[in-house]
Amino acid sequence: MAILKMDKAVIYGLHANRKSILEELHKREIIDVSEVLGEDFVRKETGKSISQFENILRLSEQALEILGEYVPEKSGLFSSRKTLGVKKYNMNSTQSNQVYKTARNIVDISDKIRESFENIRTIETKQAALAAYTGLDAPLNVTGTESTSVKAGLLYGLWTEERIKSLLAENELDKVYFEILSASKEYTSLWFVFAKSHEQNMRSFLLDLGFSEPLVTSHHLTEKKIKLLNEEIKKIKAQTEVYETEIKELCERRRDIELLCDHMRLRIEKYQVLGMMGMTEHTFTAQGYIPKEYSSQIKELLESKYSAFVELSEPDNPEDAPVALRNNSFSAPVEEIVATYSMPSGVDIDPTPIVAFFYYLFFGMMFGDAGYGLMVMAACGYLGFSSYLEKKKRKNYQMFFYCGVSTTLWGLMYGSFFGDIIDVIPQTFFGVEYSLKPLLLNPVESSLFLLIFSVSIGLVHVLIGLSIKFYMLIRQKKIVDAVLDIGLWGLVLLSVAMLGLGMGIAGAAVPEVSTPPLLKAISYLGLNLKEMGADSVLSAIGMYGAIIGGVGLVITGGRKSPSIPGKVIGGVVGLYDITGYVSDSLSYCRLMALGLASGVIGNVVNLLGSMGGASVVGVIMLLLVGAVGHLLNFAINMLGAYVHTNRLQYVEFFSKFYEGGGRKYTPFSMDTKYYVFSED
Amino acid sequence: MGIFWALLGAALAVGMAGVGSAKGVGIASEAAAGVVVDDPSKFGRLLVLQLLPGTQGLYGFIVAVMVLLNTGILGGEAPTLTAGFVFLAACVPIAIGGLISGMAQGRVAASGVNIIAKKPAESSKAIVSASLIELYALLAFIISFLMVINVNTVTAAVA
Repeated sequence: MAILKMDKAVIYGLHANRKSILEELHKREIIDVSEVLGEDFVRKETGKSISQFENILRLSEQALEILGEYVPEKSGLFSSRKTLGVKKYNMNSTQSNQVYKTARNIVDISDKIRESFENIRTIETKQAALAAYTGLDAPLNVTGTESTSVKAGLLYGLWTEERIKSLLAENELDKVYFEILSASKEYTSLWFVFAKSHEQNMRSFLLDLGFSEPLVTSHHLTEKKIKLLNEEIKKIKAQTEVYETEIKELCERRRDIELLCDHMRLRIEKYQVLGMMGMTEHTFTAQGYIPKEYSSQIKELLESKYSAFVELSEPDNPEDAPVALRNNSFSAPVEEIVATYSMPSGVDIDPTPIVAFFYYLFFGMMFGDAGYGLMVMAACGYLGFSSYLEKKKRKNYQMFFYCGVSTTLWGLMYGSFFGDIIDVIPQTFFGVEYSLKPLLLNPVESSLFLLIFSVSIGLVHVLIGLSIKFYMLIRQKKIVDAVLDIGLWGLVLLSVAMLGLGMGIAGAAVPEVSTPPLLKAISYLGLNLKEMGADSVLSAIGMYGAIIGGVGLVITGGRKSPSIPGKVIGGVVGLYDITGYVSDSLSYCRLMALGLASGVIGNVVNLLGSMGGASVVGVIMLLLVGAVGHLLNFAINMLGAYVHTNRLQYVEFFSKFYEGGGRKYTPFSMDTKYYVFSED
Repeated sequence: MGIFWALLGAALAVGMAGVGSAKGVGIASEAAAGVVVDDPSKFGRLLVLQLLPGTQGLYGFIVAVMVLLNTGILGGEAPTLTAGFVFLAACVPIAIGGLISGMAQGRVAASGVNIIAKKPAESSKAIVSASLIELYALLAFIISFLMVINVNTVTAAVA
């Protein structure tokens, strides 16, 4: 239930045993390695090897991606890593070289395929350019005869023979023959034959017209050239198909490439640890943190099996040690929520068990529907507790399973099961009045009470946060701060709570017959207390407590200020913090609002669904509208419950005491992507 | 005439809060789309931010439904003129609160998308920041809700 105690371990060993010790530690996944410092040691240069491994890894992953494009692999939403015996995973260098070559090959082939596609595109552009000259019965590269010149090309826009003729006449170019090959709105293609003597004039004439010569020429007739190019495309396509089948065949090697990827990942991890070791001529030194409960076991193992020497000690500075949390199975799933905020620092206690209790409580109150809760329990119970997922991935689902349990309980408290479906079905189809009675209250009818109830739970939550801070300060021997800063505020809040309770008891009345059982019980409890006169006692205690606390805060709040005016102002200003506590407590009204929201929207879905009345159509309609509507409501309210539960923990609760900033314990472990390696 | 004012209130509650949510979700989703282009695997985390400004619309919807139920319109009754006005007044908090907080939350969610794009590990901080605004929508909702469900008793007492 707490932060795990860590031992600092320094391992001395011979180079001969280095590899096996490294592998042993890698497999055990227990030591959080840190760098060995000191001038007596030489460090092994590992950067080069690591970047080489990283290149291989990158290329192999690329190859896998390419394989995935050609032969997609079915992978579920929750695909797990495959298990592989340790013998198979130990690739020797010939094997890994061979697989690497395959991966390289796949990448090369895929490059070639891409190149082919580019070539085809180029050829197609050529064909498009040639298409304009299909009417020309001479190859495009003909430039003329001894005394004549030939020019084919394009003019932009639509041109007529008359227009060109008149332009030629205007420019006194009489010895010119031309033919229009094709004409469209975009361009007109044509060719000219003219006497060599006109060469100069013709050139400037054409330039003025914006005449452009063909981008592609050929010694074949244009039509033939296009056909030839077609054949070329066919050839390239055939080749591409060959490449594609090659890749598809290489898909068989996918497992090997995956193994290579994992192999490289492991080697990178090992070399990173190697780089942190200190070396002498014959020995090496590694250093790290091991949880205390395992440290002696590891020491014994390394010393007996690998003739190493392991020195265990308390961490020199507790702040340096990495932080790991250990909790019972009920609260452990919430560790991740705490870790996402920040790992506890040396002065913190592990808040996980308290966070867990309130996490489940708040989630349940905000989601508040037994039907939805059962759905969550079924799905997350399976994912969280069966062997379908790997152990590390189950925690999250376990958390939601407990949230689902709480949701179901609160659904019964509120009398909500898929909204009011239990009331709606008998009423719509059989005309029978039946209803699921809430145990505690109906959120719509007793919304004000639920609001007060929510804020009260919030007040309790905030007070617990303050108590933890109080305890932390006492533990740090800051007793004055604990009493004056935290204790007095606690007194004020507690007094306010008592005042509220007193008022509540004073207002207790005999409940109506239809009141749900638990609310009725609360009402009678209130009545009894009222008879005993508890309300006036509580009010009195609350009032005096609040006054004492408030005065205490004003007097002591500015004690750290050096000047007298500073002390006075500090005290008064400090009292202003009350706004913070008020808004924090009010913030818990979301417990009521979101709980209400999921119930009311569920009811509306049922209302809409039951409009078809008692008929076959009505049944189908209820099923359809109900399924879609409840799924939507489920999704959006579960999201809301999740987000706001986190918020209440992080913003309202953690801000009261949590320092955070600890370094997370991340042991040297086999962080693979595709395979889990087992011992046998 | 009472029915007109009551329905106007319901319409404003669901309409204005809905506009706030639509705008908010819109702003957040536009930002999120930019990130998904580069890294589709972040979609799940981004979805939370995209949907956060969507709750205002729901609150408006609930208030509108409560108006419909409490006026008895669904049962074929019509509220008095006074009651109609009071229902309209009761809808104002969530209409205005939902409209503006939805848009504001959308902007915060959009900046949160930025956080997720650059530092995915800090996504919970982005989500918590966006949820800070939610409180004001919630307060508006609770006030509207409490007003709506008590209109009938109050107007009966006045009459």
